Amino acid sequence: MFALLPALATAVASEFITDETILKWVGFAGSIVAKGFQVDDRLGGLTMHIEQMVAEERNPTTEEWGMLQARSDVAHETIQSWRIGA
Amino acid sequence: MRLYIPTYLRAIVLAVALALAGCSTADPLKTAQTLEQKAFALYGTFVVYEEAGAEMILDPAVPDSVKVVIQQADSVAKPAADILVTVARETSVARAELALIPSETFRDKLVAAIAALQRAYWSAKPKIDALSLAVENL
Repeated sequence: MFALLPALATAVASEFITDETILKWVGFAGSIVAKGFQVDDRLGGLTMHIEQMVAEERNPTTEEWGMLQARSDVAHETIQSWRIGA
Repeated sequence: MRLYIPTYLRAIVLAVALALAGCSTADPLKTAQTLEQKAFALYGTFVVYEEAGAEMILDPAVPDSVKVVIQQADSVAKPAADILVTVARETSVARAELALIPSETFRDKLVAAIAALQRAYWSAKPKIDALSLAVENL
């Protein structure tokens, strides 16, 4: 849902604005807001997961660490494989 | 139809966007209680920002200058975060060994592992904070 925000912001703005630079800027602002909401949502999920861990009086398992590390490896690969102008 | 938007208005809208993007209310670090839970919360926070950074890298609306900052912050944070995982797992193993065989040797091993985990945590934290700033505040 959040991913649609930049496109939506640009589409709405394009009804009133024809300047390409400003439209690109509106899309970028929409992108920032969308990412902010996504991050907030995911941090909320992580917080709930840890609340459960605290309630169960346990530490993270090897499997839980492994799942996070696998997600990190994918994200890291995406970030580091990007090159300027790509 | 062509609409002129003054620079100050653009600045206001961008400021609102940034404020909204940075208004995170959830704090996994405050929720965690044990050292291993705190390490997990810190690493999980790192993963959330790293994934958001990866999505921004793929987003054509994001300027290259921003992507370069995210890429640099990630290249610094990732090794420190990975060390945190390794040491946290070693701490869990040491804790399990001590529970199984209560001895001075395993107690010393656990104390050393906890000290190493604390060092890894405080070494990784500023690097992960820098990545979150690069992704969230731009």
